[in-house]
Amino acid sequence: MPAPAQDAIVLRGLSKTYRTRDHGDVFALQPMTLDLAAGSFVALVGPSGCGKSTLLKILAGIQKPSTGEALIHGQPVGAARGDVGVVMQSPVLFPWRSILQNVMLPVNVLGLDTARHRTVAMDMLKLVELEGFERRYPRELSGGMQQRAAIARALVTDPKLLLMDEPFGALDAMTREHMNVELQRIWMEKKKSVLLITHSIPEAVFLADRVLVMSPRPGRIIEDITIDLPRPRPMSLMGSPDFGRYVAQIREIFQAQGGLDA
Amino acid sequence: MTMTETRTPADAGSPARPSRLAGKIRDWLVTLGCFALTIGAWEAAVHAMNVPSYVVPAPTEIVAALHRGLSSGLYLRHLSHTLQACLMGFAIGSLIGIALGAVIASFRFAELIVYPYVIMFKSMPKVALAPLFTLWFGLGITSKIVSASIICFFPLLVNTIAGLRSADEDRISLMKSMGATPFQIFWYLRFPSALPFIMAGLELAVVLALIGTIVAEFVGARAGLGTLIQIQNANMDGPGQFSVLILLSVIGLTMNVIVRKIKKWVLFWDPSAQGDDPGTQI
Repeated sequence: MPAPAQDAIVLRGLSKTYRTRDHGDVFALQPMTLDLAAGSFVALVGPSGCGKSTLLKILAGIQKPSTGEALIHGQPVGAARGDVGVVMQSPVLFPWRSILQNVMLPVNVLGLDTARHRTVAMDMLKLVELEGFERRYPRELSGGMQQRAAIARALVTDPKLLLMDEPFGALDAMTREHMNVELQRIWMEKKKSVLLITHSIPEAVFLADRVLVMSPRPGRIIEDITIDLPRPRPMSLMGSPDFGRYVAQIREIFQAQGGLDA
Repeated sequence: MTMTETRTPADAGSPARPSRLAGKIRDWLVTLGCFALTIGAWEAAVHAMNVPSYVVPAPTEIVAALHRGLSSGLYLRHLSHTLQACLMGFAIGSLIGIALGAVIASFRFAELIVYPYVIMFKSMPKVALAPLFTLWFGLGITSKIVSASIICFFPLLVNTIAGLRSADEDRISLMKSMGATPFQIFWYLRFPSALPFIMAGLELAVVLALIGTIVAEFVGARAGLGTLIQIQNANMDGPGQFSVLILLSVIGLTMNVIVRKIKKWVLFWDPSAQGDDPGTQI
């Protein structure tokens, strides 16, 4: 693609305020300015309720910011449909659609060429190791398999940016580690920009080039840490001293903030 | 009776099946045995106490009346009038209920305008409108169809609105993130989410449609099973009335079973729709 080297995400004074009946205006996000390089893997960690999901919803076009603007590849959010793939905490599959039909949903919504994208969808299912499950229905698959189908769905329109909100939060520890390795592999293969929201500091360090740490509500970014570890990162890296140092560094920031749930 | 207790050689082969089959046979024997006993007691009581047949006829008289009515073609003629009105009323009332429900659930102004009337009519016993329909639409099929459709309309309206609103919040968010239009969200998400509610409404409505039709026929019609019952009642034809009641329950049950089959087929993805529990469904 001839697109200029443009930042994947640009935030200019973006903030979000909720108007509530009992407590007046509640700040979810303090005005925020940020540039995320295209092709990078950025993780956002922060305590519950710090507004990180709000930020993701604004970037996904689900909510509107109160002030400021968000640009995705130089365009305002919502201008380029199909340029952003979203993976949520739960798989959010449609039970009446087969796995293949679920993966094809963005193609149907965007009115893209069905025949051509069916091949793409099958390739994506192969990528997430769900080959042979395309005609099954979601309830026939385990939680981890459903979440992988959700990842295939987010990839089917070949978006330049993947937004992931706690995508592995509901999985058991073993499946989660496996999915982390898989996600790294997919990212290295597809060269997308990824913004990953997570509660898990080790997950953030393992996957990201850059970890942004958010303060408790009202959320703002208090640290921006570059993770300088070679790729592909093997599972065994989690036991290395370098890895441990990054995790400890981020944990200390949390403790200084009084955040306990990390 | 002794015939049913013998096992076929095919079943004797496998160890697991005969016991399950024997259990099934035993269940059926209990049900059929008690049924036979009840009918026998009824027959005996009617003869022993000399109950006049226009009050409570003996089962044998009812069967004879049913046979007479069916073989002469009289029942089938009336049945076709009733069934035609019932099915048309069911289809029209359900479709309007679903369509209006979709409009109300999708557009707030529609809700503001229409809902007061809906609330008002909802709690009214719809069968009480039947005399008016006869006055407005005469003794033909029209007043029956209107009566049946009015009574079908409400469960579908209410269930469609509830169903369309039941769509999962995360799924709505996901579709918005894909850039889906409100119509796409309706078509790909809200409508399928509403199908379990709509099918439950249809299951209820098909029985209600029969009630609406029969009431309309009671109030005034030239033909139909409701009309037939009134004629038989005036003629003190007890066996005739009972035989038509049996016919009506067979029709109601058949329609309900068909709708439930359709429901299972439509909701193939919904495990909670696959259970078969005739006792609690009606």
